[in-house]
Amino acid sequence: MRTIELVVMALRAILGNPMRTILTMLGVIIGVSSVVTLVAIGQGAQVQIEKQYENLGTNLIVANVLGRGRAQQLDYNDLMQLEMLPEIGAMAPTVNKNNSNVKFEHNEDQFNVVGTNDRYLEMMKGEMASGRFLVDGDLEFRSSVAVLGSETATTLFPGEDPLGKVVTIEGISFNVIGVMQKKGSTIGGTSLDTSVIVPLETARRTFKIGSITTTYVEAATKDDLTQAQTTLTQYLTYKFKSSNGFRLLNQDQLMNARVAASSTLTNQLISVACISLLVGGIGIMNIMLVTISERTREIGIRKSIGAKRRNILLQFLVEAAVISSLGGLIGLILGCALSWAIPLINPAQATKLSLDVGIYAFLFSALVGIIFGLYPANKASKLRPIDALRFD
Amino acid sequence: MDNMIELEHIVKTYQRGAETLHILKSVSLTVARGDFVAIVGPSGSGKSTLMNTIGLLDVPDSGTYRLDGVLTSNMSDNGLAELRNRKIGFIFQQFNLLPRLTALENVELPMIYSGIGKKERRERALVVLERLGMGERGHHKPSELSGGQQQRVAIARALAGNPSLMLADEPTGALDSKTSAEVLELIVQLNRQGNTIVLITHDMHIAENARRIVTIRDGEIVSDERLDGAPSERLTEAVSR
Ligand SMILES: Nc1ncnc2c1ncn2[C@@H]1O[C@H](COP(=O)(O)OP(=O)(O)OP(=O)(O)O)[C@@H](O)[C@H]1O
Ligand SMILES: [Mg+2]
Repeated sequence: MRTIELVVMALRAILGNPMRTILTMLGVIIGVSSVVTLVAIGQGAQVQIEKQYENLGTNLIVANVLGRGRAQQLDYNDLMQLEMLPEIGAMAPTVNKNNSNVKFEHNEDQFNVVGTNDRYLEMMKGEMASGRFLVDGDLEFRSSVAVLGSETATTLFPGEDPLGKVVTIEGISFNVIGVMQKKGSTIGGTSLDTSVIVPLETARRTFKIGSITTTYVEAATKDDLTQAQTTLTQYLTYKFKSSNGFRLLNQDQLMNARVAASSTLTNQLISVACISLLVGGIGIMNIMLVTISERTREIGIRKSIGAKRRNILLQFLVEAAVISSLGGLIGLILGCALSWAIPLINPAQATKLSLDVGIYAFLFSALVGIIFGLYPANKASKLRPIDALRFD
Repeated sequence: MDNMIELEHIVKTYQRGAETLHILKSVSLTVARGDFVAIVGPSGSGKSTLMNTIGLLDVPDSGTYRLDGVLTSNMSDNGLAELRNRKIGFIFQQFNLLPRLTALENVELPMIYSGIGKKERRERALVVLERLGMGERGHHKPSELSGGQQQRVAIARALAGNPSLMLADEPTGALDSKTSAEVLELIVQLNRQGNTIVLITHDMHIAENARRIVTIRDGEIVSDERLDGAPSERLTEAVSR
């Protein structure tokens, strides 16, 4: 008997009872479609994270000061001395005042205020839409000037040019000198688009922010990254008299940490989906056992006219495999459709379909059918013709 | 040596609880090629059990069985399946057609298992169906056919593989008297064309169409007669014992 004939025979048996077939396939459909969708979500998140960091220079190091207190104080001018070193390209120390009230006439909202220096824009790979960014002089004279993120600007100045206007931050007036272009991606939750950038010393004094919390450091070249990191570690350890008062992360580490966090979650979800695929397999086994006891007479008839054990075994095995791979195929299509629809419904949730995962999920579902079909099919093939014929 | 069936001292028992039921008690029977034997006997006498043994659907506890010269004892399941496929055509009381398949496909089934190609299979099935006057009904499902028509399809299926032996267990048991007569006429014709036939019935009128009647009671052959008058050798042997 040829395989194609077996498959046709199995398809006919399956189509003879469509409702039951669909119910049997349901477990596999749910299993495969959720694996495909979850993998697409996981990979989509990863791509998104990678894209965010791609926007940053690859030789960026972020130095975070942990904890507060006098011992943890960094002096801006001291820090900037490090720029003299050959391995260090640029430094942008920052102070942050998150969720500050920013107001222009009747428009107001909460924005993140960042006090920093002129290097900040380039290090964040930001660009100006209009006006100018901070310059050395702004820091030197502690001027009350502000650069707005694109979203900040549209919220406070709908349909109006913000340049030259005066906004109040926590009740204190600042001149708007520039507006940045939309950037989109976020790093560590702070987005350039929803920020207000002011000179570092101005921020420290006006808002009584004690210490520099985050410093962005750019190594001179990619090859200097390790050296720059060593230098910073030595410097900060010396400053804080301890190596636990700060944390240094380079871009790869930052990205990997976030990718790892997001993939742990996806992997857990995927394993739950795989369990549902196995449960689907058990469902197939269950139905195949029922089918075989219902079709005992058929088995007897086939044996009486000359079907061998392997003909019967193959018949039911192919039937189980066809049910599960058909379920797998439907699951695959459903999974692709879901992965395509999710970003349309929720633009923040990117998805990325990968062909090989789809193929693996499909093959796995066929395998599940074969494994769980083996026991019932073997049982059917071992029936003695006379017992099977007498059965009704 | 032109015997189709040679049964020697066939014993078949069933276990019912602690009790051992002796269904066939040392049955010996020889059927010549081309013969037409009717096996008659009261209900429960072991007719079907004997036929299942002849048809290789069931294995005896002891005794030897040669089918068309082939010793069947100690044969594997696969070997038995192949013998059934090549040498035996079954006609059952309940027709035993597969309900999901059309008449044509039912007739093709034994040829699928003997590995005959699709085209040849179809052609041969059509020829046999036509021979039985069912050429028009090839695409009907069994449920769309009358009992007599279903039995014709079943006979066509039994014939399709060109078997040397046809076994019929009460082939008219589920049919009315008119169709019974037609089906019986078919079987008689098949015998005239050279098929060896073993027919089981408890109806003497039906049995009288055969060339030889073997009577079985309580698992033993109690009479064996040729309808042309001459007693068969086996019976003389049994009587003289
Ligand atoms: N699997 C079995 N287990 C136990 N007893 C069985 C089994 N199969 C048949 N028998 C018994 O064997 C005896 C003979 O059965 P068999 O079917 O051969 O009779 P039969 O002559 O064909 O009867 P009928 O004319 O009613 O068809 C019966 O008493 C039956 O109950
Ligand atoms: Mg019987």
